[in-house]
Amino acid sequence: MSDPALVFDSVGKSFGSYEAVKGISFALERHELVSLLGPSGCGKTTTLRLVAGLEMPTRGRILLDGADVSTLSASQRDIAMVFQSYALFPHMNVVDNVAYGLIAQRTGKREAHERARAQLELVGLAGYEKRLPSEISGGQQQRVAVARALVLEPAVLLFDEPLSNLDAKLRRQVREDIRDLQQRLGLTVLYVTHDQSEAMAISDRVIIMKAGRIEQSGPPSSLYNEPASAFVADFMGDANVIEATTIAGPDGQSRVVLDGLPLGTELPAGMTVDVMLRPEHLRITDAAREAIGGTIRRASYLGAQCEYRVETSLGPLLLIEQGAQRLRSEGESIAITIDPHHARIIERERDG
Amino acid sequence: MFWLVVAAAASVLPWYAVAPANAASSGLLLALGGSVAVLPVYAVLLALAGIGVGGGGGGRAAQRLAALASFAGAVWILVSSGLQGTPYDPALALTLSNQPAVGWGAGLTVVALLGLGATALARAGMMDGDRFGAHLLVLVCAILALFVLFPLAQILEAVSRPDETGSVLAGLAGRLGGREIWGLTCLVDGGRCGMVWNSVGLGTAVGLSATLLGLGASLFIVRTNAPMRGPLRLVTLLPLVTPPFVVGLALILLFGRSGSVTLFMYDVFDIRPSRWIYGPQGVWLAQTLGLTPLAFMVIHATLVSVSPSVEEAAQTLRAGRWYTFRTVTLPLIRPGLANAFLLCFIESLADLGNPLILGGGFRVLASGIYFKIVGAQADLGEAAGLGLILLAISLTVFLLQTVWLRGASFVTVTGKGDGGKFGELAPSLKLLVGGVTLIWGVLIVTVYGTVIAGSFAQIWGRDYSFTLTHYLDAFDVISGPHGLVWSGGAWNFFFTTMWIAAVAAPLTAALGLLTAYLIARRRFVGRGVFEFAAMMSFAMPGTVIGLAYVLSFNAPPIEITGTAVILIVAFISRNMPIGVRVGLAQFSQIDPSLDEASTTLGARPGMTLRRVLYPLMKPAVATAVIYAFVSSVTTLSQVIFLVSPRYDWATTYIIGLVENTNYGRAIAYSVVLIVLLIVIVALLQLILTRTEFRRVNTKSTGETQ
Ligand SMILES: Nc1ncnc2c1ncn2[C@@H]1O[C@H](COP(=O)(O)OP(=O)(O)OP(=O)(O)O)[C@@H](O)[C@H]1O
Ligand SMILES: [Mg+2]
Repeated sequence: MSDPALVFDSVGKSFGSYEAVKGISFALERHELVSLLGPSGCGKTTTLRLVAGLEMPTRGRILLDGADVSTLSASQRDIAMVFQSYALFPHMNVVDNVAYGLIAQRTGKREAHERARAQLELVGLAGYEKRLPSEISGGQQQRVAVARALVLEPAVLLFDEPLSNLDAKLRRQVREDIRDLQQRLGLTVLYVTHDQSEAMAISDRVIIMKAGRIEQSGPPSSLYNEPASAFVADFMGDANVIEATTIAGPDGQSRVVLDGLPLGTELPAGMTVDVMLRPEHLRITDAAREAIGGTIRRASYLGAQCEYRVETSLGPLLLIEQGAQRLRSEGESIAITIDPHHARIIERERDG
Repeated sequence: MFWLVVAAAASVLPWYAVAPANAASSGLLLALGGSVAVLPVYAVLLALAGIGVGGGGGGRAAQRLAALASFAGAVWILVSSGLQGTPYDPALALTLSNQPAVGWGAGLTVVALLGLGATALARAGMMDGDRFGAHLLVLVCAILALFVLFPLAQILEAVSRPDETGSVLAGLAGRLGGREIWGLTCLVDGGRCGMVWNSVGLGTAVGLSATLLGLGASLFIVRTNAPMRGPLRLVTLLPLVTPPFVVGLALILLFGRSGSVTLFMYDVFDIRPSRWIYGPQGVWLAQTLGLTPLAFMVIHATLVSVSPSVEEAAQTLRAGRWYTFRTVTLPLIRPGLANAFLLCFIESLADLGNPLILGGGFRVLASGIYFKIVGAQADLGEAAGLGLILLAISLTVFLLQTVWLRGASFVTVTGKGDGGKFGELAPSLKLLVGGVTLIWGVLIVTVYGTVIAGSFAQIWGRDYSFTLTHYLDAFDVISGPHGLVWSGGAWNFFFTTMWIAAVAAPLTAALGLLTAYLIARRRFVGRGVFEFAAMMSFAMPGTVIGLAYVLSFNAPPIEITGTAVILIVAFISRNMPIGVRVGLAQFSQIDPSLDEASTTLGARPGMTLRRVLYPLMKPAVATAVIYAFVSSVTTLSQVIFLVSPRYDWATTYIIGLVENTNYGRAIAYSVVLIVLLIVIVALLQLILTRTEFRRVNTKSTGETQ
């Protein structure tokens, strides 16, 4: 019962000589929503299509509900997928679209339509049954696509950037609807996106991919607060990454010193490291001691917060001031302190 | 399992087409009787049943072996019953070298073996294990091998047979290198040029003139707001439903020795009637008029897909109208122009009717083949030599077209409503385009006017009084004591033509579109080669196909000469590439994620094809069926060697009338054919595209998979 809904066991996929997915392993627990996040071309869609059976792995095993499905075709797997383009059949009306999968699995036409109707009601589209896809709005098309996938009650539901065709406002609403539906029905979902805020907002766990490999995975908060690399830090929100070298401190503990500001670390002395600082963890201070001096180069007022690009001896830094009353002016000299608990220091990756 | 049952059923049917004397007739009995030809087949079948291809046992390697064995079995049946390639002699004993052609039993067994092979291939992992796809692929490959590649091989064989002295080289030289073919004496002392130069020269001239006219007409229709564009559009379609040589016929009625224009010139200007229309210039004129619509369609399609915003951009960059046309529009449609030229070139090479009735002493390769088969000095070997050369030229041009023009298209269908209006043409260009189009329009209208008038005139050139005789001769119906009697002389040809074309057209379209489906939507090894093979027969001139079929199918293993089957098969293999083309174009408009969505919803490929792709492909289905039907009915070159007294064709009947200078009846018959084709095309269009959708594409996306 407790075995995972989906297991990837060192799965790789090559297109000719190009390896798009380089032997990745992960598991999806039941009732969990996991996002695949990464820059364009890193292999997210390919991974999703491997789960769906639209691509066959060139190595490794894929288990669905404990059974090896690596060689089964898409129509034989207990999955359903919501496409980026929705892929609604333009010649069928809404209810025929939703009933299609049921009919494909030899459900009687009557029953199929009944269940399709019920599903449409669930996504709030009762009354639109007889319309053609071209006669409803983009957001409604998206919900039809979701209903069409859900009605099959698949073991795993797949989404490939389902919100990218919607405008910003609608996107927020729809992603909440999806999360809501997932929690209400206890769905197991694998969700591809390249929008980090979307991933953070709806996921139980996020898998970050880079060039066909998994870079790091975990709950959004741990990825944000404890990124394993500069890449992850930068991808999950904004980060200032400063290159430094560890030195031995007087008390035997090693440390890095940024413009005279010491930060303790567990790493041995003499290493090249990245120091990662979130912009909201930098603070503007009046004291000049134990602070980094800088000049504001660009100031942006964003309502809830002010954002500054500051020129310092460590290079340009991004700084966010929350709840400030007024915007500081460009050209102003300021002093910046760092909360040592929030600085994350890790060994620098060789390949950069 | 299914195919094993079919094989079992086939084993009790007559194995051969002709029951051999002193031998059992069914496959099973032949095998039990120890026939060397049949025994291996049943050994393979038993082995296949043993390792359970039908049931699905064995690993992938075993399945691959099974596939190989099945195909070997099928090939063996065909090879063993045609080892000698000579007719079966019933007087001699039934030995491996004296076998009758395949009959129902052997034929069905071949089909069953191919099916078993396809099943095994799917189980060995081909097409991700999809049996439907594997069967489709095997079917198309078998048809291509049997009805395109095998006949081609027969041409090669006929060309390379040793001559009387027993020398292969001398034979080759005689058939491929004669002065008739390559001679250049026309350049020196007014002698005749070889057929190769004639064909290539004519093709080039026709290609150029048709492309220019087509460009003029496209510009006129797309880019001017002159009146009469609508009717002109319709007129451009007329030649497509006209047997090509009808244009030639009209030219004879106009410019022949007793043509109306000729006589008018004589009366008014005292210009003596001459035979100037007979010769290259006449053929050129007829082919140009006949092929311009083809060029027009290709260029028109390219022209309308040029996004207006590009031209608007050029004009905002201070480019004048002429300059915009020269530097932006023309380069953008250059692939379309090249395509139109090459298509017209190929069609001109293949045309037999016009060189036949207008050529006079001017002989091209296509008519050369004809005279080598039916003429006084009939020689199949020499005909094959000409056929090979014609095929080589045609294939070269086709290769050029596919390799050179692939990816050379700059025009992309973005699906984004760019908006914008096409810029106006420069005034001088407008005038030019209008003038060219006008001349062409006048010619076409004259040609068709002549055809219609001619069909009602007593004797053209001498007695223009109105008569229905020609129609009655051909299509009279009288009511006899037992109901209607089709007493007209043309009914017989007419019915044969219609039913055979009606059988061939849907098969052709289905096969072409399914092939396009394999190419566009499935992944398998050797897809590129497959695509080329499927498109290749497009470049095979009708005369060459006819000749190849004559060489291939009147001896075992497959004897179908003189039957309706050979005509149907010839149409299918020649016209299938159009279906492939139309299908590929349509598939590129349908978002692949629709197929994928269907698959992830649990639909097997068959259901996806039926419920998702077919409805979206309907316009392509209509186009393919219509094209296949029309071109089968109007072709002359493909059928002229394949018809038999029992299965004769409308076009060969008309050509026969022309040769007897019975122009009135020939033309009346042509008019009936044209009118009927127009009606049928309109009906098919109506029936096949009844359900239209507002949009074929789902919401267009920025990303494609
Ligand atoms: N059918 C294919 N043939 C060859 N290469 C492919 C194919 N499909 C994907 N690729 C390559 O594999 C890599 C990963 O592609 P994939 O579509 O998985 O990226 P992605 O992470 O989804 O990117 P995006 O965020 O842009 O959608 C890319 O470099 C792509 O070019
Ligand atoms: Mg993607």
